[in-house]
Amino acid sequence: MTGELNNPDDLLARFLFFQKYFKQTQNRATPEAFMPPPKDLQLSVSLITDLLADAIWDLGKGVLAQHPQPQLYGRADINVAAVHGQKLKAFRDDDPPRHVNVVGWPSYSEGKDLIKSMAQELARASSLTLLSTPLSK
Amino acid sequence: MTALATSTKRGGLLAPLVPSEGIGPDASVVAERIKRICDHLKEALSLRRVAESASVELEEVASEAASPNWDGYGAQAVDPRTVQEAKRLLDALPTTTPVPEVSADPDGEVAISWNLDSSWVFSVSVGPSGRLSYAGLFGTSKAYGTEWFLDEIPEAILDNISRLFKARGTHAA
Repeated sequence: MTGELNNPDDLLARFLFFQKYFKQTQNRATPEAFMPPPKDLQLSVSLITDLLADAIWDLGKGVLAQHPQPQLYGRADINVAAVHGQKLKAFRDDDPPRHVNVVGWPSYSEGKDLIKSMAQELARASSLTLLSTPLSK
Repeated sequence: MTALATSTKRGGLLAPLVPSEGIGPDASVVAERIKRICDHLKEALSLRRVAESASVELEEVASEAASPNWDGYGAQAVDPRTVQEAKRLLDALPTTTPVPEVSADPDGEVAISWNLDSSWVFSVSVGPSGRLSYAGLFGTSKAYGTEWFLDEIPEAILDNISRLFKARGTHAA
């Protein structure tokens, strides 16, 4: 089912392909993991509400297959309430399945400082899950 | 009679301190001063290494993000003018600033960040024209804004870095 996600308890995973996007020693994601792409300002995440771990990592494998980086290290989970807390919205488009775009960001030319602040808040609200062994292509 | 401590056995100011053979209060004072000078020089050398390590990280980041779409989500490449501005910013930081982390932003700017924990962070992004976009979390407070990097690092940036590390002392206590 596509469309806007309004349940604040829905859980979204941001898959992590860069080691700079998390701090293993502090068990947290870094704000860099939540910076949106400048081309469309749509932060790509996956809806993982009620999914078991294996099913979540299967989604991650699918994202990895389309990604230029060779390894998937883990994921940072945030709920929709945290997204709404930054006056952002989450839209499910199921392309690929369970894919969600977080939208409503200011532009990089006019509001880069606010983008950084919002990414810091999302990182603070997130919980990190790392794979014991990174997944490779 | 008081014997003076001498440094004749020292291979240089930064060589390991050889215990003084002198005795008496003056010798102790001289030995203590030599030790302080050595500590100061060692600290200066260590800080220099910190600045150099951030510059090395900057070069790595520039290399990793030299092509468009380096992040797989359509990121812009980091161009040489941005790297130059970032280097200028790193060089202009006070020497006592703790070593920052350096990363590329999706818009091709370079971020220089201090991440103490998820609620205590400060980051400033520098662009090719010297625009500085900054944001920080200071526990329950936050700050963000835009400044321009001309000859000196703007006061707002320095104040926020200082705020982060002053707060860390309180935070850690």
